[in-house]
Amino acid sequence: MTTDTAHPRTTPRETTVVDGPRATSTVDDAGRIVLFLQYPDATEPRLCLRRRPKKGEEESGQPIEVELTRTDDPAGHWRAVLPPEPLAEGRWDLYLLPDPDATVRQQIKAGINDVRALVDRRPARSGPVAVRTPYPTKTGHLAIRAWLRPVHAEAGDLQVGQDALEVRAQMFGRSLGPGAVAVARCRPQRAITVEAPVVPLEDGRFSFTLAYQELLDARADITAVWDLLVRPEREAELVRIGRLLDDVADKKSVFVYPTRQFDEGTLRPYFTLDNDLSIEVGLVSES
Amino acid sequence: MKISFLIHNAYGIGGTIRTTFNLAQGLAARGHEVEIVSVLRHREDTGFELDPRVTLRPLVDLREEKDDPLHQRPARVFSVHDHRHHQYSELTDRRVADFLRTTDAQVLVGTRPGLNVQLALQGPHRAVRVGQEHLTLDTHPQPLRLHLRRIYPRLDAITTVTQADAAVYRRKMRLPGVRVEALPNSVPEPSIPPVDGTAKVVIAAGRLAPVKRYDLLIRAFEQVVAEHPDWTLRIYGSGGQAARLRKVIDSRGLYNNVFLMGRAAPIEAEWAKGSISAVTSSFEGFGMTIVEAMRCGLPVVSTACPLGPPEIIQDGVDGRLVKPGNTKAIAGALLELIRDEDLRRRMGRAARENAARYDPGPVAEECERLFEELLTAGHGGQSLGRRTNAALLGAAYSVKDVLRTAKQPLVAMKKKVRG
Repeated sequence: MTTDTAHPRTTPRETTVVDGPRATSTVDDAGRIVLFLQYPDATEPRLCLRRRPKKGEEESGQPIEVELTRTDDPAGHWRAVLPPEPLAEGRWDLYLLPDPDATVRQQIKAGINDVRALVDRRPARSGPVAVRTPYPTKTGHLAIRAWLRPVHAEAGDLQVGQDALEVRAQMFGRSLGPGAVAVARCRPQRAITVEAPVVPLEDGRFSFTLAYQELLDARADITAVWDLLVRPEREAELVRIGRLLDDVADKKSVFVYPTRQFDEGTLRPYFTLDNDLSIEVGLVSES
Repeated sequence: MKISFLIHNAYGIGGTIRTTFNLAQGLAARGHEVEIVSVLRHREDTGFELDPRVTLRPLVDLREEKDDPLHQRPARVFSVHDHRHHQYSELTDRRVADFLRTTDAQVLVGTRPGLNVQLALQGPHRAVRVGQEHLTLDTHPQPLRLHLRRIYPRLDAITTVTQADAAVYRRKMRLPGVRVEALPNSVPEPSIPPVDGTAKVVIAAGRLAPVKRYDLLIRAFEQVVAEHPDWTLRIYGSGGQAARLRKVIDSRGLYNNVFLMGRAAPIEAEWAKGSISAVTSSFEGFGMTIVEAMRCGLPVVSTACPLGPPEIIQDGVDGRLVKPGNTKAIAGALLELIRDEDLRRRMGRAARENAARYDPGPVAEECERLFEELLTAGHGGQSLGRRTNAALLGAAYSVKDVLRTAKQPLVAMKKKVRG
């Protein structure tokens, strides 16, 4: 990341956003994100990363600016290597400021996004989990999904049984200790929880089994969402269980699990829009 | 030479468009003046990138001319039996006719049956007129086949995408003096590095349609998972079969290993995440995804279905060909490659080498040779005798086919009465 101190510049905020050049993106084996941009006319271009504000909210926080260097690579005229520092959790949009006085920020279109290195990503179990996944948005622009969690429980395989759900997961950032327990927490009535003992396995892995009946009995309403968490040790903070460590930016529509039917409703595990694991208890569908 | 391709709508994203762009680019790279004439246009930009050396000329801009009164009247020259007939009109008929009357191209290439018909009927005799078939003769509905049989003898050449389909044309349509040649679809070299064969991922890509038989693939993958639970299958694409396939996945408890990924474009970067590709179709007119996967260095396990796969894959060398419809055979071939990383890599390398023949370069070269031969043979220079023959023969067929067509409604009526 380069900020030019001699000529302090600020990213235009209240400017028009137009469709900019296309960039190919690659994540290499070391986890670096490298971009190539086709844009012969730029003079002193900068790349600008902005965290997308939530719906109805204003943009906030400082954008991250990255210098682009001219290159002879056939992939593009300009090359950028994103700084290795983790990004705050959220979706980051990428813009180009073609010259120092740019008043128009151009949103970068997604070209080929080679993220094969992320398919089997296994970070060190000790440190915090910092994930950056480049992906093309629905509108065809290049964005980066980021997660930054000091402690994380990565969801593995699920077994959606007839009466119970078995979850396998792995701890990152800390190990399981005495009194570790899995917790299903009702949303929005967070006071309502169902606990299940965890079975520790090798390498920080563990499994737990949640009986559907307990979730059905404990819910406050007919419909409910249960977020799945783990308390790694007695008195420790709860850790959300999610799936962050692969190349799939949006899990919800890709990792889909069967729905179980009951007399009084349906139940199905799913990944939320933030790629965290939850269970939805709903009404029996009309069909 | 100056070459014009006549295409339905160059602004969309179908296979015909992609392969026409590739071929046009290949021909332009060889120094020819190449133009793509798009009958329709519905947006500003093309979906695929077009080589700047290739000129793009739209004839009817739907954004402005959708409500033109002439566009409300059905087309009469464009074949009524082409399933896109409802998108054509008197306006498109006129614009295409104007183009054909005024063009100075030496080679005119139609890219779908309806346009090939118009090219055959109205294309200037001073030019070589080539009808390209991106589908196959046997998959055309009967009335279209009969229509083409009557009109195609007037063309100078017909190109199919496979040898097998070319053989069908030669066998089923009497086309004296018409060159029938296979000209495969082309796939450019991927812009990203080939796979290294280590990813434990099998990849399939295509429409989620019954003909793709992804139900078979999922069932075959159940046998793979039983032996190798760390392998996954990713199926890219969308379509009407999604809910049905989801049921097959769920009922077999394969939801930790088999994923419906949705659409992905460009697909290149997705091939790069796998080390084997699978095709389980009951029919493939060509098999574009097979070539794409091979170019990325993936060996493809495919059913030996008609028409394309057996012409693309050399069984046991750069991929596997297995009996169509047979789950066990598909699973067996997948497992063979999954168990043996060396074999996988060896076949992957061979796949990459052998698929280079589908590069726009060699395909354009083949195409150029065909066009040049047609030009020197005087096809474009008008051999009157042959054309008269063709017209007479077409007429003779047409009498026969009119009788045949006339019989159809009768049969249908009888059935109705009985039913």
